Amino acid sequence: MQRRRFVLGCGCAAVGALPWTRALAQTPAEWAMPGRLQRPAADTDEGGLWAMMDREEQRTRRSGFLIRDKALQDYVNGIACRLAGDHCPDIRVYIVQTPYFNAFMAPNGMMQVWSGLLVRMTSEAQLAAILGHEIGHYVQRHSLERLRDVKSKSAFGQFLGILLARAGGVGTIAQLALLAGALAYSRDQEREADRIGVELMARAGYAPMEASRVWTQLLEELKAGAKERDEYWDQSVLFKTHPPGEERERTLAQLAAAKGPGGRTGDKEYREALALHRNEFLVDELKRRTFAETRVLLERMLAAFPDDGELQYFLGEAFRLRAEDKDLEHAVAAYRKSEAMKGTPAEMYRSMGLVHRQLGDEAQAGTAFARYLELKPAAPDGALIRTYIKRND
Amino acid sequence: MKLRILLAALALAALAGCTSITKVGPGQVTVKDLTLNLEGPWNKFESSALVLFQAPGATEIWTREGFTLDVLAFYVGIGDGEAIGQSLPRTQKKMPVFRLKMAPHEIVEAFETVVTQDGSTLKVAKIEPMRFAGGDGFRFEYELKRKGDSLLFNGIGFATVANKKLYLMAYSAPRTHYFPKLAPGMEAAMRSATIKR
Repeated sequence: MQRRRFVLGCGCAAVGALPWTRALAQTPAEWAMPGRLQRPAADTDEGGLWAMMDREEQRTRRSGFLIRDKALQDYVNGIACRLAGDHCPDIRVYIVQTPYFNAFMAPNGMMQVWSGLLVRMTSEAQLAAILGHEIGHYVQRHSLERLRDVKSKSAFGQFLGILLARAGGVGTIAQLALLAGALAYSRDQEREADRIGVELMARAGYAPMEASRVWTQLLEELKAGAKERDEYWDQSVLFKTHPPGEERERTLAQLAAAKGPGGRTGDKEYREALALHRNEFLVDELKRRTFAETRVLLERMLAAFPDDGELQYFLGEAFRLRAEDKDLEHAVAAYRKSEAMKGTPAEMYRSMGLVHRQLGDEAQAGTAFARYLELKPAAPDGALIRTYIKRND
Repeated sequence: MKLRILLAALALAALAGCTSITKVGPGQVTVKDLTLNLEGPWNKFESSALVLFQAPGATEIWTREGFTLDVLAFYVGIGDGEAIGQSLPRTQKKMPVFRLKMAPHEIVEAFETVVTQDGSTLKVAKIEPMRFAGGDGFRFEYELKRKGDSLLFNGIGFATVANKKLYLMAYSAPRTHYFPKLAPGMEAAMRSATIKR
């Protein structure tokens, strides 16, 4: 987590005092995309920052958690390129299997997008809002801006500067850890990245209002899950340093309104691009064990696709795994609904059997287990399931 | 990163004297009321200060080659309503609770929750009924991808419920080299388990 937070910080922290203040003073319509960034000299603070990020990028490239799906990669790259314009060749997006809502950009052009974010977006335009925001950090060189700001304000910052100037591609873990706490983006930088993100969306033909919807959706989840939130949300730089969600939701809506109606949302394209991975991402989502948030997510998805049996199954799973109060009864209800729908996996019957067993209804459990075996005769857990049925007899 | 933190923490803890590694076996060894008959020696990790990412809150943790490589974790003598495992420091996640009514599938789900708190992923490849420690039990095989370094592990677990308590042993080692080399000996150790019922 340390490293993630660090990169997030860098991706979200920056300086370049001049370009930054200039951009703040401009209205979005006047904002001009800065030219392509050149690799900084190795013996500068910016060069040190890039060298460390190069190492992080190498690790990401080798990571077993990197999703290596060319079709999905091409799709996401395509969106990034439409937004980034001339910067397209300098931006490299990595899709990482981690079930949390996060994306970040390193100053060297490496961007990570996590699967927990992808599964939460409902349209291509929403993903474009995220990518546009991150590209905003990159083109404004926010990481460097932040580094220089920290350096100018403290002896620790000066020490960091010396460290980076000497990094020359050999950044150590200790150096990374030092930077982790120092380079979170400021709230003003986040606001600026939001403005640029909406601008880039509009220029690329996306519906800018989708940016605000990202936050509407996320806030729904956060509010529902306030009691059971895990440490990630509490510690996330995203929520510590970003402006409050309500403010972002409101401001993004105002910025979008100023752009006027219209624009493409790309719901269908997005759904198709993620289709192969949705099941896997939702399995990971359940493993977070933040059921209130997962329930909001699934109910939102079901509102859009009420006849999707797989989504109903996952909703049942969320209830089954929490197993508090009336959860098991809710799980059965969700499983029953999914029975009549398309896309319901055979595992639904196994889960239904387990829940009936917990509720003491052995007959119903036996029927459900038998149905599971009927649909999946070569199931790797078949022998064990048969013992469940035998026990019921 | 997690691996490095773990190694650093282990080194620091060892220096501070709060961690020790002792030899167990060969011969008869007991973990609570579970008895094993070991053909060879194992290393037992003892610490009051650390929770290993691979087996948070385990009753005991053993290894043959080193704790960052292979781990034999014991979750034994867990009564109805008691938590299986322990939350990693700083996470404060609610740990799953053992219930007598739990089916083997649900016990494995609980085990998965405990050992993947650091973001590792676990996929159950097989789960089958099997005699264990003198009673009805089950055996499961799994694949684990460790978060810190993406290293792929294979794992085997055995479990049973005896005297209204859960007894679960799980062993994991890197898929290449270590697991094929060490799994047979480990499985023999697991199969030697007995519990006074």
